[in-house]
Amino acid sequence: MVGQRTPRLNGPDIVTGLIPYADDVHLPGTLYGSILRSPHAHARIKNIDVSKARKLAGVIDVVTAADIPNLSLFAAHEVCYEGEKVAAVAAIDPDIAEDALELIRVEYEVLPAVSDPVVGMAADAPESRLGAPCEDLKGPDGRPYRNLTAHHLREDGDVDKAFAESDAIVEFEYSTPFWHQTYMEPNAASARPEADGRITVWTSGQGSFSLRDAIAGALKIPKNKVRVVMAEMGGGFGAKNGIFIEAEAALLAQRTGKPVKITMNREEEFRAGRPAPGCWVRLKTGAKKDGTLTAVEGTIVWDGGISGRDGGVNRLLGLYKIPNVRLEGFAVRTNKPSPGAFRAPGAPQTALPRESNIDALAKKLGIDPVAFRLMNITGKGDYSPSGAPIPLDWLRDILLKTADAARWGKRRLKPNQGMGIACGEWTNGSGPTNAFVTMADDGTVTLLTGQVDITGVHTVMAQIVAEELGLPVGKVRVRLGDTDSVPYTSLSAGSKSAYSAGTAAKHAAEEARKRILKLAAVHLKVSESDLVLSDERVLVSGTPSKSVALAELAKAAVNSNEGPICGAWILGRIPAFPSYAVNVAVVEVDPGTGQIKLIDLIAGQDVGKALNPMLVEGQIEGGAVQAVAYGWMEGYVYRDNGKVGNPNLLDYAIPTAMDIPNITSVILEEASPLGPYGAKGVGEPPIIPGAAAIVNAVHDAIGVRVTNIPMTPERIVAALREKKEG
Amino acid sequence: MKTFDYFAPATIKEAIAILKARPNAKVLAGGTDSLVRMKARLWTPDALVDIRNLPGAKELGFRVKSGLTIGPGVTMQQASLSAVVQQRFAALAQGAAFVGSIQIRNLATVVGNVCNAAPSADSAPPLIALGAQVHISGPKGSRTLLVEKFMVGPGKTSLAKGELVTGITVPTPAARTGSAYVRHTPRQAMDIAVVGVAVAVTLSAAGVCRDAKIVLGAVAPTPLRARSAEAILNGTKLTPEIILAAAEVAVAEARPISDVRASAEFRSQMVRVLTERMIVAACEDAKTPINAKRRAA
Repeated sequence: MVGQRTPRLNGPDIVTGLIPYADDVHLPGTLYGSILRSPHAHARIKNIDVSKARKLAGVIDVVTAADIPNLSLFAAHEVCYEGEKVAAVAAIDPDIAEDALELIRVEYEVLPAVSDPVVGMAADAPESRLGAPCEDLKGPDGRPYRNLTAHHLREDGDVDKAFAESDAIVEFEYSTPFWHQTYMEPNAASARPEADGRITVWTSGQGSFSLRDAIAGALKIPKNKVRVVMAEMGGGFGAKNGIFIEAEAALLAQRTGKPVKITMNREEEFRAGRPAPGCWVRLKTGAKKDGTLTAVEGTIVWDGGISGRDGGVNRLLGLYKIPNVRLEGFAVRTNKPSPGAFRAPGAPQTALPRESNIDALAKKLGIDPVAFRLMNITGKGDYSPSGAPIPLDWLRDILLKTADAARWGKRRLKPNQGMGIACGEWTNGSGPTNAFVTMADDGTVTLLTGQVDITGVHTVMAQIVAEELGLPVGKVRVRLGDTDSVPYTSLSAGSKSAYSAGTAAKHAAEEARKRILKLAAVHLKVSESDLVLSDERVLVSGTPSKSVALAELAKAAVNSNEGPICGAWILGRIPAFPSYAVNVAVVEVDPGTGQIKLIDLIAGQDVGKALNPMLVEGQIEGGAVQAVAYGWMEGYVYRDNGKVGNPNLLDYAIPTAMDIPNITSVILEEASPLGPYGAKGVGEPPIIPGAAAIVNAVHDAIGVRVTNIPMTPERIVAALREKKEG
Repeated sequence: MKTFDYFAPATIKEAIAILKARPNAKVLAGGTDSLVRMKARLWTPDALVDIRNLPGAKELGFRVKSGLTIGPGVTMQQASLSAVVQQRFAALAQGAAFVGSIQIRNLATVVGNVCNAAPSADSAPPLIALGAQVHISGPKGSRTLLVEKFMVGPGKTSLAKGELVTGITVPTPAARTGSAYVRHTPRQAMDIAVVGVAVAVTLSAAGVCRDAKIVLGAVAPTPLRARSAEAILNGTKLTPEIILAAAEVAVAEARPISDVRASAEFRSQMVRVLTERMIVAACEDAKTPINAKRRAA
């Protein structure tokens, strides 16, 4: 079962639309909530008048910060990004709720907004949030920085000396924009006040308990007053690690005593979602003639949104051995929504400058980019940037395997065609999680877990249980527990769900297996060590005629002294090892229009063990598409006034099937010392190298390095013109 | 979305009567523009008048004498896949094929695209280049107008209150006429034109350009005839130098704006590149005998 291409168990229900999503929850007597959001990126709120909205027939509640002085769900005196919540209404009909929003009069005094983090950290920049704390640090001009939330300086060796002794040096400036996860399902939540004073919230997200804690925290009520029930999730990619409108739905439910449902629309998702942060980077890399990397020096400025989220500096080094390092990092508070995770948070943004510089340096030295990497990568005996030991040459092996699959160096390319390669590194997280295996008296199994299924983890868990108990996968039902029915379970994020919950499922199944063997040994009058589980039976090895059906044992167990067959496992944390992704992009560029055609995309990943190769390929393909799209066409466009210029799926371009060729997934299976069957986390690494790979491919095709992504046709045409004009 | 009444009249007369009785009504064809606006509450009509049940609404007909007739319910998919449109009105087939996705093209109509009057409408430059006319009916009777004159501004047409478009006709092109349309977009589908260029040329037997029409989309409030560029082509042998000169003049005629999709400067560059390419493509089409033109897959 493990290692099989088992189709996702709920796949048919998903593709036929039978599966209920959060917006499909229809509670009797529900009210419809809607949120009034700031139309400005930065403004002082001078007055809010809700009197007309309150009087509208069908409106049950209107709430602003003034009504809930002890909570901070709505902006009270200042809005700091377009889309920030200002008020909420509940009405008997969604259209009336929208009418009510139009009747709320808010008087704003527009303030200057900080959109570009590099401009925003300058001493004379406006404050992105009035009076907010700022790192106490002075710039090179002796004046204090503004809007600074974090500062890092990492120094190893002697960078100046190393550059002086280098034979080749490259230096570029890069920028990456805010990046939305563009999950298919906009957020929706229904909240219902219960007779016992608690609130039940039906929503979709990456972890019931994290959302429960966030809702309770926002409403300042005890966690045990909130129960969260997860619907199937229509894509999260890290965005849905937290709450969006769940607390407002719960607040309106509390205040009205009725169920309340809020569904976000796509524009709200763009303006007030939890996108990945962007950054500006200047990076200088040096090497010797023989291909040895000598030094890296640079600055990264994270566009941290209104929370000033920090991404650090270490990922600029990533997977190379570089003895001399000077990296300075800043995080800046800007008038944009608070950013979140988008698969490997911060890694694609930093892989771009790192891998593009490596590519440029290889070309400058006349060394093949694959060979150049092989000379400098970390491997067996080294440590990852996060400090994890590297026991095997996983990166070397996946680099070679992917280059081989891509026919690196062997393709005949036409004019304006090019190939680019890039690498990425990541280490997954783990637990806490759980698994409860119960065998019914017909021999079928129910697996209960608190781990939310975001990309098929329930299928993988079922495969593992089936493997351990000698059952077909179809005999295992997986049920997701809610926050009242299972122990605390962490987010399905950080590439940890199959790694951790898969381990829990394996141990829980082993517990159940112990019971089965014990019962079978008595029944068959043999020693436990002589028994094997296969085809829903327990067999005596070497004597195939001697066996007993699991169903028979399960039935007998119900009335035994020890009761029904079950097994439980609670997992805390387990260590993890780095894993690597390598992408090769093959492109053709139209020099007249600047349009890129992606001819081929080869995406390799070192996964330890592919528990389900079909699901692993799904992860690889999805991540690779998101990644090349970041380099190619995706990204927020912020206007100078801080407003989102493209808050919809027409102007915020993501590729369609027409733009993407068949993707070749390359899987490297060299077992990890830990993780179920040697598996490593697979969800995040695939998104890391793609943007850099396509930037390198475009350079290979037309000889220009576009360092501000996405590489829109306009940027490519401008770069070509610049090259022509010399 | 606000609630509304839905009407599906069976005759033009009935449709006009409903539009008169319901001044806030909107005419509905494929709904691919209207419903998006209604969901965003940009439009809040109290009634929709669906014209797809009018007699002949879904008919796409062709006679050499009368040309191509496009009923108000003819979809982009019909137009793009029609053999006769591909053979004789290639630019229109290409423009229709660019719109949205297959699902959208199965709903969106050619007439609706013209009535929506977006500067970037993909069917408009081809229709204008091919000399198409709209047929209008209203309380005061019927009238006919060139598509070129019908679109008067972004989202604005010359339709008077209570009037509706009952069809479009495109005259049969003269012998040795070819046409082509292309648009520039960041991605291949589900997009709207940053710049669109349609060209129609009629050649003499000796290969001299007798008539050229160049229509630019998304670079002015309405699709724009580049008349000075056309004049450069007329009477010439369409050498690469002349084609380039015409493309340069077309750039001067365009009046692009900068927005989130592209800068005015980039749009100008695209006008040059795409005009040049479309003149060449239209000539190719003109030189290819009609029955030798293969249906696109």
